[in-house]
Amino acid sequence: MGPGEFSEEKLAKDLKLEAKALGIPSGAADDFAKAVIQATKKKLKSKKLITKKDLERIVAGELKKYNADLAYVYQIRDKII
Amino acid sequence: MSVLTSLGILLFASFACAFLQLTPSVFAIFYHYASAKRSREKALDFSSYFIIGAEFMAAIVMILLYFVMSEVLLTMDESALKIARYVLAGILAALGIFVLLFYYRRGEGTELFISRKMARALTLQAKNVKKPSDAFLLGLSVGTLEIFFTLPIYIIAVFEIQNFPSKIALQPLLTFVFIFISVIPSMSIRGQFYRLHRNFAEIMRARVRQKTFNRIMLGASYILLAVLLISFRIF
Repeated sequence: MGPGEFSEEKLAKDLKLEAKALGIPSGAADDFAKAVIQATKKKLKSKKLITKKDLERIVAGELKKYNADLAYVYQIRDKII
Repeated sequence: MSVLTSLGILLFASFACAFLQLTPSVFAIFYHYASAKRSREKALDFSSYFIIGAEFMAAIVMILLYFVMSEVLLTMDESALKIARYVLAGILAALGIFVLLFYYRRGEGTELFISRKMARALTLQAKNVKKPSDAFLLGLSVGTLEIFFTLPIYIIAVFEIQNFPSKIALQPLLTFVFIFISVIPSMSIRGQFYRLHRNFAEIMRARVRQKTFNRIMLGASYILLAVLLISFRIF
């Protein structure tokens, strides 16, 4: 997995879609997404480049604080087939 | 005795079909995102098209095999038939060993041996199903991609089903049952989503836990089929 740009909008969109599929109410999903994006941005401040894998690990770690199912699905969503 | 043997071989052939993982994996992704983008009923509706697509592919292959085998078997003498069975048993044993060693990739998910490029394309296709026809085509294409693993099983199934008496429509019935078995894993996932209200995370955790069991059962089914073929249809 190579380096890439961190897109807040894409991450928020992905998280809301996964949350909706898991039956998490949209208000809670919005809150989770905002909190996770803020925390992720803080952690990324010191880094100029980050791999997709590292970014996913940070996001999943933050998500775990709010919803274990959402964190798990986010972590394995590209590791199913 | 021959019919009983055929029934036993068919049973293990259906085991092998039921433990294949590509179709249920794609189905799980498809259903997860379908239920995010539309109502529960609509997602259920779409999933039926996926299942019909996968069954349609299995039916096409089985019907083609009936046609090819009825033509080919007439032209083959006993020694040629024996060689063909040896080749089939060899393919089954090789598939069994391949499954035991390489079917799943190492890691936290249920990643299969297929190329990452193909896996990404399938994931994207499963995520972006917009119409019932997309769901049908997805089921059809997954059935096609799994053909290397299903074709030897279907050949055995068609061969064994022909041993049953043809008077009471037993052969078409068994064919139908066999085609149905190949979609049972996807139907089980659908039941877990829709009836048991389990979410994708719960379903995937269970599938990850069952990885070793699935791999061993699938590999063992292929090897056992090879052994049964050699024991009862060659010697």
